[in-house]
Amino acid sequence: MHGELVGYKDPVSWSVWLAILPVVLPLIISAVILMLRNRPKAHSVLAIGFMILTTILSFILLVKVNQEGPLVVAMGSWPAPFGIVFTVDSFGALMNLFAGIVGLAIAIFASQQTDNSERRFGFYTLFMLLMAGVQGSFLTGDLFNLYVWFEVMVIASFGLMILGGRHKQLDGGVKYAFLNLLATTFFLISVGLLYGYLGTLNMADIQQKLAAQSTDGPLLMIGVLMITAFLMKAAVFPLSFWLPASYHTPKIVVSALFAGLLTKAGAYALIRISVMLMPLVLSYMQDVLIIAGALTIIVGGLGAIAHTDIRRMSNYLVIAGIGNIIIGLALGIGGGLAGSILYAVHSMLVMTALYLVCGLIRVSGGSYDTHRVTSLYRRDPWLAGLFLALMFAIAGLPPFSGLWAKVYIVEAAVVSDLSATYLTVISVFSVLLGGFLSLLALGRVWIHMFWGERLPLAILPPPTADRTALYYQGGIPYMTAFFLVALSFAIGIFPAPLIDSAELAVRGLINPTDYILNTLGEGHH
Amino acid sequence: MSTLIFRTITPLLTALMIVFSIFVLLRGHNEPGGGFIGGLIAASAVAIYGISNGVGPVRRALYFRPLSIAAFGLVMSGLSGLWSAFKSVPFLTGIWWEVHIASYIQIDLSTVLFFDIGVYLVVAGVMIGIALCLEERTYD
Repeated sequence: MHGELVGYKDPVSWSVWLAILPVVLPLIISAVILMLRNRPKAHSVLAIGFMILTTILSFILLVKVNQEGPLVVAMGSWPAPFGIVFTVDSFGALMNLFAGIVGLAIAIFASQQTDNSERRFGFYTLFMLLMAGVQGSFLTGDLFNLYVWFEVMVIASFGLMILGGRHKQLDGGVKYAFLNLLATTFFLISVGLLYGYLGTLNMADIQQKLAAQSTDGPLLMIGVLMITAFLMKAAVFPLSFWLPASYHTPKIVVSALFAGLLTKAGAYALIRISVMLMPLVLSYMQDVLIIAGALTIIVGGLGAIAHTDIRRMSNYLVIAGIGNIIIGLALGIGGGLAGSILYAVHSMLVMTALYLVCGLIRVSGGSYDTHRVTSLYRRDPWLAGLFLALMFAIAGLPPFSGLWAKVYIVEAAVVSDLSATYLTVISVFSVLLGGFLSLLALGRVWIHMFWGERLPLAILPPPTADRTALYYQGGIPYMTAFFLVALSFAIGIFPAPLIDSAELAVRGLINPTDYILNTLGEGHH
Repeated sequence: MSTLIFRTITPLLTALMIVFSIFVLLRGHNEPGGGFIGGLIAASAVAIYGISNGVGPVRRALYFRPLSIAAFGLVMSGLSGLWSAFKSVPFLTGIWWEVHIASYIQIDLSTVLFFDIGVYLVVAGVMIGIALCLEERTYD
């Protein structure tokens, strides 16, 4: 018995496995967890262990890609543009790393919050599947493959959304499922049209062929359809209604996972497609995107102020955050795009942390409603500190990561030569107003829930004794939320590595010569 | 649905369909067929047995839960893709072995085959799971 290679090829270096494993490991582990249905204790151990491994690999991948340029893996050795390739550039690797970090935090938090029956119903299986989908969509270099990973992500999220099967969850799940399927259908249609138009699905090849086009007629239609699909996925204002209708219904740890990753995957695809493949469509849509982004921020901010349920408030804060990413994207080439990427990373960390803290408030205070909880500061000063830090982080105040993203976006709005002055005014105004509105919404929570009236401890309602509360013991959930906020703090204090990485990502997106060269090889140039 | 004729013929039919599904799976490498269609045929075989003899006997005969079978298939496919790491070729690249039994029989094995068996198990497991679930509802 001897192994023999048929056909090609030169041996590839070990580094290609860095691009494969962050996707394949979660996929295989999700299946292993499914097989271990009757050992729910092992689920969390496996998930946490492999998320740690995935995160470490993602970190090495980012460092390597930043040093050596885009990394390409041709699946099954079928060369691009015919085979499916993973092409990892700085942008993909950066998003992939932070997705891994958020995933790790969720895996740890969930280990304290899910009970055995939820695990048997497949919490960790769906979670790992969702991670595979998210990381796959960050790493792939093929448009149809991107669609497939989106589909994996969406299917897993349906399962997580209705896990528990309460009436409200099914209600939210139906809206979520319907509108998300609509968005993926738009995406699929536009991918089909693009394939009919260009005869290729490989992103590098698409970029080359589109750059060589002399007419823009069909491209405009396809591009607008595709960008609309991603705007819907990212929950930008007129297309955002699925998010506040559904994100507060599942378990809080699931909400945190969705808020951290799903909309950001939509934003990632939006940036990847519009900047790298279709800069022409992006320039046509600049006005629309700026106005949509501004409306997203304002609607999100006002919605956050309007709600007294902190989960519903958080839904709107997620939407407001997306608005900043869209405005940064629309401002484009200059610092705007770097700000957009920085904001996406920042948003992944703090939005996840926000929902986790909501869960902790629920346990510590007994309710999600701002009217029904008071004086939490006296009962749980650690949580109060955590919330205060988070409030600053989400509002984009120093010393947290949101500041730098907003600095970049506002600066780009001021220096860039937009077609009309009012667009500059709208961009700057909405980004700054967004921070103010978030601060207002969260400050209100702070005043109502943490300060409140100075009730003596004896009159306070007793902490919840319900079943979920038992799973919060041991301080691990606090540490998890703290870890995310601390990371945001660290980025705020030492922003240089992240900013360098984001600027490298922007350069790679605007001028994808290396991306194309590495994917298609020398012959195509 | 449990008429005498149906119940008598089902075991035979099921066995035949399972064998045929494996035949379709194995011929799939160079001719029409493969793991997906083979898995569907296998699932239909099991579903027919479930219709005639009830879901309980099917679940006992399968021993493993259908979803565990599907999960095992997924693991198998994933690992067969990772095998190419040992040969320094990209993920999912097919690696072949020639196995000689005695001196005149030669069998070509490949990671592609294991990948396809994985697909077969995934499809069969998922479809059996769905079919048994639906059949259970009917007989409740």
